[in-house]
Amino acid sequence: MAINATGALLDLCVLAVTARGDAYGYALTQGVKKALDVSESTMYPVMRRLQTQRYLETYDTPHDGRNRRYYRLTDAGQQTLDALSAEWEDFKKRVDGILKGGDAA
Amino acid sequence: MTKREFLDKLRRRLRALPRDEIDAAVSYYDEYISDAGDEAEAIAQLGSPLEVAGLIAAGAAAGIGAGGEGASSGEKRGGARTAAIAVLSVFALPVGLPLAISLAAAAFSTVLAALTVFVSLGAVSAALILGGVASALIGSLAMLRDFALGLAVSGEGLVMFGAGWLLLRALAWLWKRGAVSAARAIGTSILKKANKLKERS
Repeated sequence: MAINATGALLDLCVLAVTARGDAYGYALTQGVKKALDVSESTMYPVMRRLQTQRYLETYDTPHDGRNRRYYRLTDAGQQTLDALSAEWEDFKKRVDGILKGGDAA
Repeated sequence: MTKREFLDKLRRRLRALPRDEIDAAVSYYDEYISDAGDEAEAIAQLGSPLEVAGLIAAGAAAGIGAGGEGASSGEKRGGARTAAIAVLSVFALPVGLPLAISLAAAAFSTVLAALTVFVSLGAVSAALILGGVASALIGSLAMLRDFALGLAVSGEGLVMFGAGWLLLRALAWLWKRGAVSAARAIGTSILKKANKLKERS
């Protein structure tokens, strides 16, 4: 897709995917890639940062004789998700306003 | 590239990061590649270990640089410095290779210089021997016409021959003792260096 996802939009999508259920690295990446054209290797730093900001927390479960690290949305993460979602709605409205030729506020 | 190779290279690139950052990143990509199913395909999509390491270090740098909540400004400054070093170190070339190349070049030119001196001394001794033989022959012929002059010339020729012969013997002795063992020592040290580098990269 032509619209690049950086910063807040990427955070929003990662938080939104975890809001639908705890996810491990690969599944989380695939979930975000459904909407955004991000490279696989940009995902880890984002997840790591959200983790240090305490928006995500991790826990390990055994899987196939190895470890699998799951990411879970925290309360603070949920609040950030709500705030970013509201901003996204606002952003969408303003872009649509320009596209549909109405009076863009 | 296998998963093992990818992860090893990644770990090496990240060496300047804090231990827990390295372990977290490496185990993340270990899991990620296993979960992807097709190992080779997943590794190809991730990009080179260098690129992946660069992104991790830059991300960690932003995190460390910010210092987290409640970090003092001193801690932040120290953290920012660590972070900058970590990012730079990802892209730093190992210093061993250029160093080994210049050492090898220096050793090679030393050997070449020694060899040149050796060869020219050899040429001197050959010239003395040949010149000596010629003078001795011409001198003995000249003795038929002018005995004293002929004797002097052939004597001079014998002296030249003797000097050339001594020089040749000395060179042969040096070759046996010095040059061969020196060349062998230099050769094995270069080979050792090369092997070490091959293991590292």
